[in-house]
Amino acid sequence: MDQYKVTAGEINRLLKSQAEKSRLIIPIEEGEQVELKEFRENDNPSLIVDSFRPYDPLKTFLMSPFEEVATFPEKMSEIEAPNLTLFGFKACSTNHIRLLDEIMLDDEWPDVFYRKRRENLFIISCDCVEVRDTCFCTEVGLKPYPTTGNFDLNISHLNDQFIITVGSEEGHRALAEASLNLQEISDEIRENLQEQRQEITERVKNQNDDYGIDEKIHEPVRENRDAGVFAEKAEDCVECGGCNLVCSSCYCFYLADREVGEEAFRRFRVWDSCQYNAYARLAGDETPRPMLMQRIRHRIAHKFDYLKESFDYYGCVGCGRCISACPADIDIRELLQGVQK
Amino acid sequence: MNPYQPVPAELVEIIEESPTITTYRLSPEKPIPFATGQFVELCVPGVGEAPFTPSSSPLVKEEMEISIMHVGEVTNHLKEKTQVGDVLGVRGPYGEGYPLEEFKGKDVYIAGGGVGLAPLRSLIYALLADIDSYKNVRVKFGARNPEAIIYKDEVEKWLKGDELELQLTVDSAEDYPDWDGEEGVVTTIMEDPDADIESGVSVVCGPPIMMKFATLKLLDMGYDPDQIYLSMEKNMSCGVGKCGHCGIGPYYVCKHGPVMTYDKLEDYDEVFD
Repeated sequence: MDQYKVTAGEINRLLKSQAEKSRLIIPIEEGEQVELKEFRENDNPSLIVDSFRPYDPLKTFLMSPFEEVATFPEKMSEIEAPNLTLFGFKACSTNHIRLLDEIMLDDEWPDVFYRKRRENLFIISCDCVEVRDTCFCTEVGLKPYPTTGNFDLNISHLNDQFIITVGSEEGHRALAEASLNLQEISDEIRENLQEQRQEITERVKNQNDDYGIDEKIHEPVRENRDAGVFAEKAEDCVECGGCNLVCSSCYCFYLADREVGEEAFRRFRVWDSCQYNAYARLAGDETPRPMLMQRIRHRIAHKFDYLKESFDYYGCVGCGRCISACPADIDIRELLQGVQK
Repeated sequence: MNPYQPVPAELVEIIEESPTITTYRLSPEKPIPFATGQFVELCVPGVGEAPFTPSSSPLVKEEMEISIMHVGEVTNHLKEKTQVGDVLGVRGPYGEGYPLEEFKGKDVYIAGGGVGLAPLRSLIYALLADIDSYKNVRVKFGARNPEAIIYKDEVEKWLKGDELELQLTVDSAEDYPDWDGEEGVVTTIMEDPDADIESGVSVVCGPPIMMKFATLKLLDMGYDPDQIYLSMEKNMSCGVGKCGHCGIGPYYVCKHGPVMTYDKLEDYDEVFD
């Protein structure tokens, strides 16, 4: 992948150029969390390059939490999906666009709403600089910088320099359109970047040492279904579903119809959580997972066994959003640790 | 095409099959051709949707019949508030049906229970349309009591004909002195010394508890797990492998099923729950 060196001013120019042809969303620190907002001209680019990952998962922009997807009997018109640039998401977020694509863009019945947004999405991701104690991407086989594609441009902040990595043809085009002053990078800079990335990676690794999560965590997850940790965590869990809703990888939803007159309705696709008792419920009120312990186990098994079997990667990117969101302080790493016992 | 968009379908006939099961004949605005064993989402406008495998012949394209047991919100609404002439919604067909090509030249051993005869009737129609391609078709069907046997006319016809071997049983005939057939759950009539088990296939469709014991019985008879085709039932909302609800292990019943061989499922719990 091509890499160039630019100044902070050039990044500002890139953002202005993107803002001219698309909606541009950037992160901003609000108290402890990083929120997302529309870009304004005087925003300081170095701050947003270095910020922690946004609180909201990236999927919010591809399949919104509550969205009209059909009307009856008259069909709804095709949706508008204006060009959108997302700036400042980290590798944990961009990594799992591959999973969302796999699910939502299958050949037979692609989700047309997702597809339209996906086609018009431009991603400028940034290397992680800040590591918080909820971060554990290294424990699920990933890195705090992009390795799996799914970005158009990525920015790494190295001392007082910025390095742009181009991840797609659209990325090249955007650089050309912004007429950025791109400088070749030297081998020395390349090495320094590698060192910096290595250092951040080590920090994430080291802070997770105590959990001792096995590289092949899918094996104990499959074999140790009776692990006591599921029942243990079920005592604390309040079934809010927050872990699923903020998850970078979770994609579950249900279709809810709202009556709008005689034999007419509007249909909405609404995010759902497998932690709710009604999630898998059948007609007649039977459910295959009546106990919360079973539902917690299902969440872990789906992420670390079933998706691994289907796609050869975990349904978890180690972003730690579920840990921050949980009102009962349930840490998914403790669940995995417990499964290994 | 929007996968969440139902096609309007006029309800043209309502047939009471038993005290709890009704067949609805629908005429969709545009034909929805399906393979036997695939399912559709039937939508009652403003109330919601539920998945059903059509019970009619896959060879009939203009109309489809769906047989429904009234046990939930959508199905109870159908029973109480729906009339001929109403417009419902249908989308699909979805998933994998019965692999008829693989059944050809083989003994087909079918076990059904209760409303499970609905998808099986569609399968039987498809088999009968090309009956010479299959070695022997045997159908074992169980209902709660004589009154609960659905498709009485067809059942009568199949019993008289010689194209397939049909055997019926009821769980209990206590209040039905006229019943002179078998009594006992369906597994009690699942013995066939003549069935070619080694190169045959078996099909199971019915309530979860019946599916579980019929599957165990088939294994006991000598069928391998990959010779046992189950019509799986799980909560299916989107129907197109996205919403997550119908997951069993790495499979989505709506996409990889609803017809699935038991070898894929046997390692996962919750299969028959």
